[in-house]
Parts: sequence; structure tokens; C-alpha cells
Amino acid sequence: MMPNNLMMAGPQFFQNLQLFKSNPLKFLLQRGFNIPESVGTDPNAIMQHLVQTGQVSQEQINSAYQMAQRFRR
Amino acid sequence: MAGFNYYPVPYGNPYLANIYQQPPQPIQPMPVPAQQQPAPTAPQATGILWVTSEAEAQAFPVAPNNAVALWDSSRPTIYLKQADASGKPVIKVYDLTERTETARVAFSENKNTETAGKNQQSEIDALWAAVEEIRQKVDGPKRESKKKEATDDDAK
Repeated sequence: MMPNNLMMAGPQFFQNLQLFKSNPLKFLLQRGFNIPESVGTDPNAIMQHLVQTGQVSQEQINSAYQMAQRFRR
Repeated sequence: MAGFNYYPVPYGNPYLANIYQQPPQPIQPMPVPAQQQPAPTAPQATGILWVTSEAEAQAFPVAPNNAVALWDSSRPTIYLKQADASGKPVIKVYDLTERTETARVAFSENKNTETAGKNQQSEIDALWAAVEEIRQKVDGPKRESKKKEATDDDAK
């Protein structure tokens, strides 16, 4: 299963971002991503695993990162 | 006549009725099966990606055969993070420097190095000739004396 978007851009984005920040592993597992235990719980390691295994494209990473930055400012 | 029908439907044959009632269908080409197009390998820039430090750039995930340009928000620096087919990341750091007016003048002067180089070469040649003259004047008597000594030794 490959979700179309990491965070589902839209009104639910902020809520999803908070869920992701609180527990990124749980957030991504609930959305159907395949993350083995060996990856660990570090968000950077998890994201690197997702792009490495092709579950997430570089464009999705970039857009999710940019959207997160907008909320950070 | 209210009951007149241009397309009489014969009893007991519903297929013919369908043929008469359906409008003519335009001829459409056979659907061609979709061919798999190769995925674009070049990264598609969607905007500027800002990072706050080099450590954040190091941690930025990069997919295999992809590259991202990360701009440092605190310094005039750009991090170009690339990953090969195996996903091994390599990061290159570029410092942004503004091209000032003096730098532009220096750049334009460098363009004229060929003509300047020719003039300098002629000056250097003239200097070498002068140095050679002086050397001959200085070393000349010594060499002559050495030659004399050598001839004296041969005579002995």
C-alpha cells in the first residue's frame, strides 16, 4: 500500500502534523507504511527508510517538509 | 396521425428494436494499452527547501538517484545532498558569495589577459636580455681567467 500523500494536505494537515510529531512511527504504521522494527523510532531514520524502499517519493518528502515549515513559522 | 411510427418495432424481436432506437455511434479507435513510461530521475524542484543547520541538511532524507538543494536560513550556504542508486548520500556544501563591483572589474580584467600577457612577455624578454648583458660583463673576465688557467694547466 502506498498512500498518496504523507500528511494529506488540507484542513487535516495540522492535526496530522501534531500526530506525526507526537509519535511518527505509530502515525505512519496506521497509514499503511511498512516499517520494520529494525528501523527504530528516529523520525529521520524512518523517513530515510521510506524513501529508500520507494514507499515515499522525493517529491512527497519535499512537499511535506515545506508544508511543515509553513506551520513552523 | 398520432400513432405513426417512423421506425416500426416488429413484435417478438427486441434486438431489432434496440438497433432502431440507438443513435449512430461514432467510430472510435481501438484503445491502445498504456505503455509504462520510465519514471523521471531528475528531481523536480517544488520550491526552496530551508534548513537551519548543516546537521539538519545531513538528516534530510533523500531517495535513491535523487538530489535536493537545501538552503541554510542562518548562513549564505547551500547544501546539495545527492544519493546514488544504492541510496548512499553525499553532501556538498556551497558558500554563496555576492559578486561585487570590484569583483566584476577583476573579472573583466582577466578577460584581457591575452593582450596583457603579450606585453608582459616582451618586457620580460627585454629584462632577461639586460640581465644577460650584465652577467656577461660580470662573469666575462672570470671565465677568461679560468680559460687562461685551463690553458696553462694543459701546457704544464
